Amino acid sequence: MAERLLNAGFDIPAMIRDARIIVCCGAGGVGKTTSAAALGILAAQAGRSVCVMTIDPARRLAQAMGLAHLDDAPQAVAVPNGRLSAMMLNPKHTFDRMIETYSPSERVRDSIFANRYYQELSSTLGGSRELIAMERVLEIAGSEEFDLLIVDTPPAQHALDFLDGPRRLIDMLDGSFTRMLLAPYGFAARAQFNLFQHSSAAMMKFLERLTGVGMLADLSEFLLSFSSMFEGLKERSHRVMALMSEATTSFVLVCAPASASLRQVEHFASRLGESDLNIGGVLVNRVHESFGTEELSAADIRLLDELLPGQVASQTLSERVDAALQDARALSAADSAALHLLDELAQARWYVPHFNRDLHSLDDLLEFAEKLVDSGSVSLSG
Amino acid sequence: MTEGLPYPEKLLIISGKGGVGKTVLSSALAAVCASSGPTILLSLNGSRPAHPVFEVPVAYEPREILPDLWIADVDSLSAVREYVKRKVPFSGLYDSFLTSRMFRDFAEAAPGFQELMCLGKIYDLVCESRFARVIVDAPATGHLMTLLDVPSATAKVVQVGPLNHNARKIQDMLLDPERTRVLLATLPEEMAIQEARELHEFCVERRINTGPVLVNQHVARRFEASEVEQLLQLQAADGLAAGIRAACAEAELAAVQELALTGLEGMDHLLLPRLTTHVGEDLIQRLARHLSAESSNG
Repeated sequence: MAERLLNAGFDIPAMIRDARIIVCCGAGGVGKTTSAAALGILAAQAGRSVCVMTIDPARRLAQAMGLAHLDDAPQAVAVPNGRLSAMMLNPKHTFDRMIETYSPSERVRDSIFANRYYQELSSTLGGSRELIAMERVLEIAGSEEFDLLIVDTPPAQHALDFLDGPRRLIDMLDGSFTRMLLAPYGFAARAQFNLFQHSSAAMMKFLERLTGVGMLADLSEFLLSFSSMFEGLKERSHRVMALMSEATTSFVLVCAPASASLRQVEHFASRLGESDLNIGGVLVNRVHESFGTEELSAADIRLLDELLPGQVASQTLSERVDAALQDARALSAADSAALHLLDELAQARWYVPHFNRDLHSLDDLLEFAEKLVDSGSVSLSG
Repeated sequence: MTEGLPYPEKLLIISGKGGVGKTVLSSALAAVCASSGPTILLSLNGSRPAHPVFEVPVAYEPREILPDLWIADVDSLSAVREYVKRKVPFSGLYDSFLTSRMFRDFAEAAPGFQELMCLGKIYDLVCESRFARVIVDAPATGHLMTLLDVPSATAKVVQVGPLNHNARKIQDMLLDPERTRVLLATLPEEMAIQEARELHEFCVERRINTGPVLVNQHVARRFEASEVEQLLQLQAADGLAAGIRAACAEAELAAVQELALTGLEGMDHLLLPRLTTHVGEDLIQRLARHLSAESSNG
């Protein structure tokens, strides 16, 4: 088995020097939060004023940053030689604030807050989490306080959920159903709508049979109030898309060296490419060490078996050491085989080795950041 | 693999932190269950064109991929359409409406509606189908919690009518200890275990039957403490022998995992070994053997 040394990591310094926004995307559990935090540390140490924003409900960045609790407002993190802040999105809080900001009147605002749909189910409203994230990205990016914002996105199965979410919600508000609901109230009625009044009455009847009397009334009240914020939301959504398309915004695709995760990266990369968004690189996390090709020598075996062996093992020490070596190589070989899926990708790739422990202290993050910088030296068997 | 599982519940939901191996574990569970009766393995709104373990296409329509092992993906819109067709007489008349943009907008606009419809499809499979087991490869912890709360929230928001009726029916199933169990998937790592505990507490609070914890990728101790000490000395002395380094690294990992597993104290759990092969049917068969052996031992 030949060693292949990967040429990677060459443009991390450039990215953290030039980017204004870095967006980390990927499936759940691949290390997005850790990567976002580590990139934040590196950028802070390179002299930038950085804010890392996470949208993760599990509050993991809080642990990783060694903060007792992360707040909706950026808080300073004690990084040696740098200025770093971190914050965690509180979805309900931001949603409430967004409604305060964009409600055209106090009456509308109060009716949204009082609506049972909003109280009980706003978190299931498709795209609402992403909409909230978008709102906060605009707020932070627009402030003078930081010159780099690093965004840790919610785990996504579907490519670009983070960007598609707000659009979906806005499409829904602008959609034919909402307009149909709005028409009978004479609110925001649009000319073309009246043409359909007859058929829409039948539709409403049909939907009512499906869902129950009263449900549609409650729902339309909710959508009615909500859609009065439509223009404001739409404008924000356009602005965030423009921000995401800028050359100073980089997407980092975080993944594990497993085929399912890598296939998703391929898919993400092509979707980002179609939208002309800029991929900073692919970060492959938890790559197993290859442990070279050297087998245990006769001398090693003799040496090991002369050591004081444990009490209970049925195999000699050298046999068990050899078994550990073969297992480690099998894991590395499986990683290498899967990583061939990235062969066609043009983007930079960074490899971070598998750590034997959870990373949840600032020192751990510093170590991760260090590995990320010299990820060019990670070698894979293959 | 003929032992089957000691859990009699028909609906088994597997969740946990992202990346802990929910898909692999639910596949293994489904393989175990299929040996004692027709079993269906479900994902919810999966965007994957093919199942990553069995490498077969997955669609809303169940498909038998191995004897008595069926697979399907419950996507919200298909679930909504099926609901309508069963609910409304002459629904054929509404076909064009059901595939229209307006109907999709409605389904998206009503908070919780799609989630309720997905759960409704699961209800049908559990209560009105010939399957002996329904295994759900559920979304990660936070998302599953939101999903499990949808029926009670819907019943509160919509107080009468078919939606209310459905929400209550589903809620009854989820709370029925004879029909439902949530299995907690984790890795032997601190944060994943913490999430498993959070989900456990969530289920206990709501009286949803839960446990055991399935610990994926466990590395058992291969060396005794006195041996590790000597190996570390050897590593320090001549450093580079790959075998010694690999053994020391593995011993360290085993010790770290052991420490993390203390976080499961007082909780019923099964340790499933880390297997070094690719994810695939072979791995599933091996995991399935461990699962049925471990769980029949206690």
